[in-house]
Amino acid sequence: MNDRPFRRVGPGSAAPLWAALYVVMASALFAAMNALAKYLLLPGTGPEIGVLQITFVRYVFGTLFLLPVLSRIRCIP
Amino acid sequence: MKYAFRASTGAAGIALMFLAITHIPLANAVAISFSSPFFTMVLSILFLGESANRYRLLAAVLGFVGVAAIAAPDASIFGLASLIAVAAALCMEAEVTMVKWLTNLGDHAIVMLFFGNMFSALLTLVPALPAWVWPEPIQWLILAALALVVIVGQRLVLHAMALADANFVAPFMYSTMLFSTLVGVLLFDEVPSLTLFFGMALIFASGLLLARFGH
Repeated sequence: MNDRPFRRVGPGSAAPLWAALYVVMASALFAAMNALAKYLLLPGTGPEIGVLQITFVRYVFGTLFLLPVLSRIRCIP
Repeated sequence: MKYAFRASTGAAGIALMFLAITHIPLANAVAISFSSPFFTMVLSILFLGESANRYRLLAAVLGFVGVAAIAAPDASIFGLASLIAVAAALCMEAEVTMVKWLTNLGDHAIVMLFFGNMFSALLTLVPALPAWVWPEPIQWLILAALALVVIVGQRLVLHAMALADANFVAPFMYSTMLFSTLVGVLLFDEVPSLTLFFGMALIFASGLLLARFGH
């Protein structure tokens, strides 16, 4: 492991704490993703949508949500 | 082409994970998915001839016992759903390896995310069409929310990586196992077993060992 694990740490910097907090928040969101998928796949919660359809629609929405971000950073190859 | 290959592993990982969580508790599937570094290490030793130092061997034993504790608490053979979760873990690990490779090529993280999503959508369109069911409005909302939480989550991880090294932030990802347990209890009446927590602890220890001494 790197002996100096933090890239942007000055005296008293809170960067590692923020990094840890971001990852924990992301972990909660990933758990939420699986929970939402499981809810959709439960019988009796509406028309039975298949796993592949959920995967496809998730990626379509993901692409749409990323479009404005991509255009803002202007780095389309 | 490079994005298409990355997308195929990512989409397969997600689809297999969704399939696994329909049959086994959320926490079990997520915990098994975190054993992917262990499986990658075993495969690299078996097929790529990589060396196995004592830390890697210890991590392998811990990881295997951890997965076995979660997947087969009644000492029977691994169930099919657990094996699907293992397959999902392998696909996700392959995707992570691809992302690292693309990063080394200098590709921007957001560009990788965008093309990863776009190619995955294209790849899953054909198999999704034959069984297409038109969702109700509430299901469309849930599907959009599902995509949104992933995108926000991935961006948070990118922010974290910009603030600290991957070795520092990676262990915090294991908190997904705890959140999944909590969600399973609160929303799906899934009661976690002692063997689940035992397995999670072993997988966490295995992951830490591999992160610290695995290279």
